[in-house]
Amino acid sequence: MHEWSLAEGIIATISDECSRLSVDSVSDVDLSVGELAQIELPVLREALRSLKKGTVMSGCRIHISQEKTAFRCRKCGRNWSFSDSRKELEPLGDGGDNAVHYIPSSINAFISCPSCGSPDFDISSGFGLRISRFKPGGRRI
Amino acid sequence: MTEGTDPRDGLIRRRLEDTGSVVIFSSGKGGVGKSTIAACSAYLMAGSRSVGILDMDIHGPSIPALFGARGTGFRESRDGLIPARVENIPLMSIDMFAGGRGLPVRGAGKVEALKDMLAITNFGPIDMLVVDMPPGTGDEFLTALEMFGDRCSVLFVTQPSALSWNVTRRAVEIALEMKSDIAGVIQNMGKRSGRISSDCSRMHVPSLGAVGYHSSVGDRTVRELRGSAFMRELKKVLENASLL
Repeated sequence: MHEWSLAEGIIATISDECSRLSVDSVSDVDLSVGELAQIELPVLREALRSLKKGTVMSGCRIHISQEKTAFRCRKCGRNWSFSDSRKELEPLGDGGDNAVHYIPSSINAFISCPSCGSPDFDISSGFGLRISRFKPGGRRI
Repeated sequence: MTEGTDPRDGLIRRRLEDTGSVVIFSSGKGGVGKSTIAACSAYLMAGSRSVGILDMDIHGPSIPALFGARGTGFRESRDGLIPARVENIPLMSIDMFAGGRGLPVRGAGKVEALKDMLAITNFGPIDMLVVDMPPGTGDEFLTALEMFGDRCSVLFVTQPSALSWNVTRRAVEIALEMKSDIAGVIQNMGKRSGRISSDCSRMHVPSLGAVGYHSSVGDRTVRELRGSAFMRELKKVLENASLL
């Protein structure tokens, strides 16, 4: 379900930017989706396809790239990936996955460094969803 | 090409279009009863308008406990997360995600979590959003002022002691420097201090009055505090601030 809100946010944010730039259409949008947010890409694509009708994005091409999530421990310096820690979320059932899906930075409440056990780590890549860039189309006259 | 845009920004702006005004309950020091004041104020305000409450305290969320609502959550929908209603007030807190665990997250992570909460929560059309802050003027306070902008006013809670007020006064000064609207200062857990009133007068900030110390407040929930002397005194203070 979160994917529909994200799609709404993408369209709202780009619409606001287009107003600011005095342009009335967008030809290309590049999205970067971090693994941590566990976004279902088919659902996001469907939501964008449905919600962009009648907006500045109606005729645009949407390119989505996925970014692997990596962590770095602030205590011992260990680098590791989200997939290495997935098993720590499993005993929590949907609760852990849902929390991280909606609030990716809540991951610090659920996993810890595989080497030293510290929960004090940074998310060094693959965080949430970002509009990497978009290409404005026609300029308003 | 336009680069590096956060899709939550537009969503937060759209969500706030459905929110009449925002009152941020803040303080300089912790332990001054700010969350209890915020929760009970939301309850009192909800008597005459639609009110939501947002707990922006990432490290010490207490709004769910104050409403006797620990373990309650939200309903997922295509339009965002619909918060559970307690006392007819929709409430949202990081505690609903962390499930009672502590969240050892630093500055940037806190800002991300707060923006996520604001973006995904659909309070629906409400007249007023009450926001409970952690003490101080750090990431949470600055993020709230940035996100809510002209829509918000700040209500500071302090104990009448010099120790508490000296820190809160600095927070008031920072809010003034940031051109924030200040609803006023509430003194909690003691008799009204003349010094605080005169400092407020000098800063052109409303001194809204005092709520005395009531040992019975303790761990009571908002529901259990209904009709208490504490609630009656708070009601008078909020009436002074034209918030009721």
